[in-house]
Amino acid sequence: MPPLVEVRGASAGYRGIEVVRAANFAVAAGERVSIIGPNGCGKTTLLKAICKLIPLMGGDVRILGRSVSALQRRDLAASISMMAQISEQWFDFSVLDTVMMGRYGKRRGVLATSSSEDWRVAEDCLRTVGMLEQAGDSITWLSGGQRQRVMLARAFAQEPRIIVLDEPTNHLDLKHQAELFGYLQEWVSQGGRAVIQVMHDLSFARLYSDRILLMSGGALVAEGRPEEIMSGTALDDAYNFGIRAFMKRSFALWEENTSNERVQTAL
Amino acid sequence: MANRITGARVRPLVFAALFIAAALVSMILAVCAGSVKIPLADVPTVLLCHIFRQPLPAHVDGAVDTILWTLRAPRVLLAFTVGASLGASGVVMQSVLRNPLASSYTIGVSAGTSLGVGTLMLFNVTFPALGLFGYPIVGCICGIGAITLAIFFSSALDRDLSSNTIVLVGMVFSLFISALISLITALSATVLQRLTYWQMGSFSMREWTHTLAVLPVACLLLIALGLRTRELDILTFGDEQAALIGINVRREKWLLLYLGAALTGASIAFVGIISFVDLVAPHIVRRVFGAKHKVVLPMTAVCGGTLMVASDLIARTAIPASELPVGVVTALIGAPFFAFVFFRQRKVK
Repeated sequence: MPPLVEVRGASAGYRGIEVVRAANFAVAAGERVSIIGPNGCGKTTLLKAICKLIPLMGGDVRILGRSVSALQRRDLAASISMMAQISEQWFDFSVLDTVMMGRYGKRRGVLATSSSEDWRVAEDCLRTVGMLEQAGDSITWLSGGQRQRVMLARAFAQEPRIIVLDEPTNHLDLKHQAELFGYLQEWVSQGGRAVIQVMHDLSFARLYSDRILLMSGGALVAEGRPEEIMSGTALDDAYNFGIRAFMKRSFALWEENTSNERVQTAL
Repeated sequence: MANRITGARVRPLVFAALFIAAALVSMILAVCAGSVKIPLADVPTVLLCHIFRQPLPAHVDGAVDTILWTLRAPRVLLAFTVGASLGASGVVMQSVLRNPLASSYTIGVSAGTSLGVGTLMLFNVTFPALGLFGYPIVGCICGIGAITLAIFFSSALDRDLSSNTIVLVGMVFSLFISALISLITALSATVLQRLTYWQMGSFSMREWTHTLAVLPVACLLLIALGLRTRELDILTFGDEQAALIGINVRREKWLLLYLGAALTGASIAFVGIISFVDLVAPHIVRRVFGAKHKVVLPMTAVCGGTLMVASDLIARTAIPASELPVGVVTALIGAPFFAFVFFRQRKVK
């Protein structure tokens, strides 16, 4: 089965400066791939190049076998969507209207109106992320976590094969982070779908990834299963910091506290 | 959820009916009020007789007929058309540039149009081939030219072309063009009063020829914008998100900005610069109806038209035996009103 996303020697950047250099990897159906690495290593730039938000400076990105440079925006939106983050929204759209925007690519012609299928899909997507009750509320009144869920519902409403996320857990507390990854896990498990996510939280990357790509200085420096990446020395080298020792110490402390709690409960 | 959505749909319908009723009342008041009072009962009689080319009943005074049909009806309809166009254009500018302070006036489209059309007026240039539509079409071209220049200068300063840069450059551009117009006015004593008055906006001495020239052009442009309300909705979330949803952002933004600029250019070609309606009307409508452009665009046209008719009525009647420039009235009422609406909205959020 051909991969859903193929990145072949892709280079990308801004104003002639290469930020990502010759990246090579592929994402198959059913996979959740996390991209990790220190700040400024090119993770977001790579995601933007995959979504054709910035032009490639070299190489190619293929979505479902077709080069992104040859795809029209509307065709690309039918295959891949990105869970965007609303930093500031001055316009007072309702939650349902916001999710319905994800159906834009499904309608053809300037006079086309929303079909009953569009409304059904939008409501299903809101139900999936637990926001159906807030369908009529304004998005400007939602908390950061609720907005993230609405934007995920909108990404689902595009009915893509691939969803891309850039640090999706920003502004979310631990419970909402776990819930968000739960929704994504359920979505990807329905077959023929894949998730590519840029992650800062390594424990979440380990928990919610099938494969991890480690980036440093604009290049992919390691690739493998979460346990392989987390135990290899490449992680410490990429971050220029003793990440593994730090994580071990943090978890040991956590474990110790939990044991004390158990002891006290037992007493 | 069905109840919530049904409830959410009923409220806009009620408010839409109120807005349309306010527009009709303002237009009826505007044709009746003035130095000569026209009986309300004569208004439908005179209008219907002229529209269906029937003879006037004997009880209708000839002077009433002349004042109503020749002077006030075309003026009121032109004021409504110009207000509707400026309001709709303001919606487009604010949504595409994602800036609540954007409007044709603030980004220099009005000033650019006034320079182009004002210069043509100065040299008494006419367009026989275009007939009635000469000035509105030239207005469209000047509006498009002005926004192209504003964006060209913005892109030279800021390669990311942020909306704040466009608005700031537009303001500077607007001031520069206003200075140029003042220079032309000062150098040409023969047209000084005409151009000065025109710069402040006025519906005085406007006849059916002017109204019938602007109305079809404005209607065509409003319909073209009405077909792109989904794109306007999506563009308010920013360029990247719009692209990810499937919009060709560059093409769509240019198209919408050109349509908005052309609408402003066509509508002010005969009446001069009128500020604040394009800034205030979208804010009022969004407060009442939310953000969906399918509703916001037509309702802003209604609201802008009503505000303009009301402002023109005040301009005509505030000082007996004299007339204020309508642009002065819209600015006097619009500036504090905009500050109230805008800052209250921010405070609430």
